[in-house]
Amino acid sequence: MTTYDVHFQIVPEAAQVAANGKVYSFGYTSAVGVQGPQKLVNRWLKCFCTLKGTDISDPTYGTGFPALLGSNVSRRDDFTDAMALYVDDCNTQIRAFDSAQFPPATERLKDATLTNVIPYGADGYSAYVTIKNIAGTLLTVQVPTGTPR
Amino acid sequence: MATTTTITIDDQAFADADAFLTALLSEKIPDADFSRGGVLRDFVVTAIAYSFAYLEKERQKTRDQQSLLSLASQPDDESTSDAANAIISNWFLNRRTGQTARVTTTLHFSAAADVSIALSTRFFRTTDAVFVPDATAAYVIPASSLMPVYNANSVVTEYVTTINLVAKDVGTVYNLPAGRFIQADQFSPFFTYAENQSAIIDGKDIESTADLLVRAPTAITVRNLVNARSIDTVLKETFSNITRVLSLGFGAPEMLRDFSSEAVTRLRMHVGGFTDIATQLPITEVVETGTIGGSFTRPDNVIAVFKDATANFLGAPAVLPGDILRVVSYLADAPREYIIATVSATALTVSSRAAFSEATDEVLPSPPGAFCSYTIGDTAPNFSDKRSVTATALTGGQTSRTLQVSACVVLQGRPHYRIKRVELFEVGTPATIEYVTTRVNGTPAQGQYRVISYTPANAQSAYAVDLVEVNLTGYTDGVSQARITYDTLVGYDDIQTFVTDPFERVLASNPLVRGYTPVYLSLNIAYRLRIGATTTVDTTAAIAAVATYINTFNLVHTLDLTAITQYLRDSYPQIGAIISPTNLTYNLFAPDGQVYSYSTLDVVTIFPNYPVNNAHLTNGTALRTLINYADVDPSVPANTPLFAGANATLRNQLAALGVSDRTLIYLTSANDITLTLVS
Repeated sequence: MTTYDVHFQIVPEAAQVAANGKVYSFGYTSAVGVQGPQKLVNRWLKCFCTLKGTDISDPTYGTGFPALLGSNVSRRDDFTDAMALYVDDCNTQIRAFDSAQFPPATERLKDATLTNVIPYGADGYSAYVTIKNIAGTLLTVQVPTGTPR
Repeated sequence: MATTTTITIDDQAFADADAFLTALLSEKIPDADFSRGGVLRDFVVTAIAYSFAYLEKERQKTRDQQSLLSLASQPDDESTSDAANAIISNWFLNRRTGQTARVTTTLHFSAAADVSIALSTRFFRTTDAVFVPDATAAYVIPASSLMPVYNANSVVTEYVTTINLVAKDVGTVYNLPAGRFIQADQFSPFFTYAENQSAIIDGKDIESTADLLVRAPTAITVRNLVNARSIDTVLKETFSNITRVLSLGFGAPEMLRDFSSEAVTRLRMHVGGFTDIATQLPITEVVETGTIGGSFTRPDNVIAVFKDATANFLGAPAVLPGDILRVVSYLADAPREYIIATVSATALTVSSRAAFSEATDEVLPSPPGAFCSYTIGDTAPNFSDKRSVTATALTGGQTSRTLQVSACVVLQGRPHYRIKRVELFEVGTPATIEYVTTRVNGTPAQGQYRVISYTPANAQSAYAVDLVEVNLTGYTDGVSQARITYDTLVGYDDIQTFVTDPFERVLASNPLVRGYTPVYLSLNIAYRLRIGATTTVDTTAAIAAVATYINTFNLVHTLDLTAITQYLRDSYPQIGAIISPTNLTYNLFAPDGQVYSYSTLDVVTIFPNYPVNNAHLTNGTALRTLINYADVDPSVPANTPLFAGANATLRNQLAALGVSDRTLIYLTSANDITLTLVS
């Protein structure tokens, strides 16, 4: 049976200050259900953007990516290397969930890869990750590193 | 509300809560995805799982705290304690608030001057252990009551007196060994120091929940003093310092007061109506000073003495026990006959069961009081063949509740445990004080004393008529003084007053609170250190531990020497061996005032059973009614382990005094135990 998760979306950069720096929001007056590839993207992004060690129920959940924000990693190669590691870590965790919970093919991760890193501002980057499910659907998402597009 | 600090949420509790909420919500909202890693799981389930786990623990704890059965398995924290209090209070049972330690303290002075010690005066045994006077009013000790201490040259070196102190608070932290107090508030310029010569052992902490629950089964009972269950509950609930209660009623083998016994006629009727309540209480030391051979009011207030200062009842024809005293005037029920029980030159005693109705020596103006006409004889109907006295305004017979026995001091009516010191001196500031330390069962020689009980059935109670008899050599009846220091029970009077209160007592009962019959143990232990032991044994602490073990021994079990030595070895693993034979002796202070001395190499019992156990009586020939093995088989030396015949004699003799295993209390002190290291 198809099941729904709650959808969340990125907060526009202009509104992030008003949102106390939050980069994601449910964004609706009522919850919006989500299924299929977008649900996979949500799960992947939630894990990727959770700083490892901050989940009270599972300290191993998340990646080191949030610590990269505002750090002194400014060279593009360094940033790209770090991002690649975090993407792999996130993939491993999502696959572990999938193997235990058997979601439908459209919501099951096949792979996610860092596809593009674009300089942004004086010392920032915009990163793009392409997420592919078992059903073969490809979705490219921008990781909220600086500015939403 | 329970405190949050008592609930710990571990990983398992959290996982259980998370799994429960996930299952619950998945069932209620089947199209929602609560799988791990999802938003709903993390934001809806995991977010509240911790709180849910806390509430679940709280729920479980609350459920457990609604049952005494499950409360017993809970950790004894504040919430468990509160819950136990709440449940137990439904049966009007309260947690005991602990017990303050008490100690008899010797105060030393450099000069004899009047001393006043306010109730607020603090005595510091340690920096944390503070004691204050255990009294209802300030101690006022005249200089004449300070006892001089002489050195070898008969020169007074200091003066001492004793007072009772009580800890400022409850708790076992006040249980300390014998020693000096480190400081005291200023109360006399001549005060030098204070010391407790015996260990302090009766401080108790606030009752634990486990101990409280032990008392719960007897809580559901009628709160009257009507049966053993209710007496146990009422007294322990009313008096927190009671450790143990034994109620003896009609038919109990130890109940002697139920019998109306006449020594002369041998008449013995089982009349009933009495309740003896043995209580175990903390022990404290008291001091009494009295005139040797003086006049003392009988503690039981029985008017059983008939006296005539002008008579000579021992002269011909001698008045004998069994003769009849016929009082023919003054008393409201005169003429009436009384059977004479004992005879002295100027006084007779009659049976306390059929005593006089009025003390005529107390009739105003007193003295001299009123006088009775009387006759004495053995021939009915007038019983006048031996004496016939007509009273005048100033002569004749008088009935009295006072006792006056040569060489004797009558102790106040209360439990009399071990007598520690008897001091003889002349009134005023004595030049010398004779310390009498040897207690005997026979007529006391110089340096000896003995205890005689006129009322064995009332022993260790407010009605105990116990006399301390000394040797009069160098002393004068009616003039010389005896100062007697002995142990008694703390708070006994309050309990006796309670059970005899007209509102509390069973109307058809004659209740009497008593102390358990004391058995004092002395122990010499020789030990060898374990091979390779790197530390020595703290002898003082070890002795205190053994003393506590004996004093708190559960008398449901039989105390034996092996258990004592094993306890010592368990407590001090550096002890390698206890050198046999360890000498354990013990003295039973019987209700008749005699001391029954025993020795054993195994079990501690007052009923030796040769050859089943090694316990044996060691002073059988010194008892007023001899129990001598040689009487049974002259070929065997006296006082070796007893055979059946002597066993039966001893058992019958103690049974006649109302003594059994369950009426005993085993006591010792650090001064009674020696611990010797041998190589």
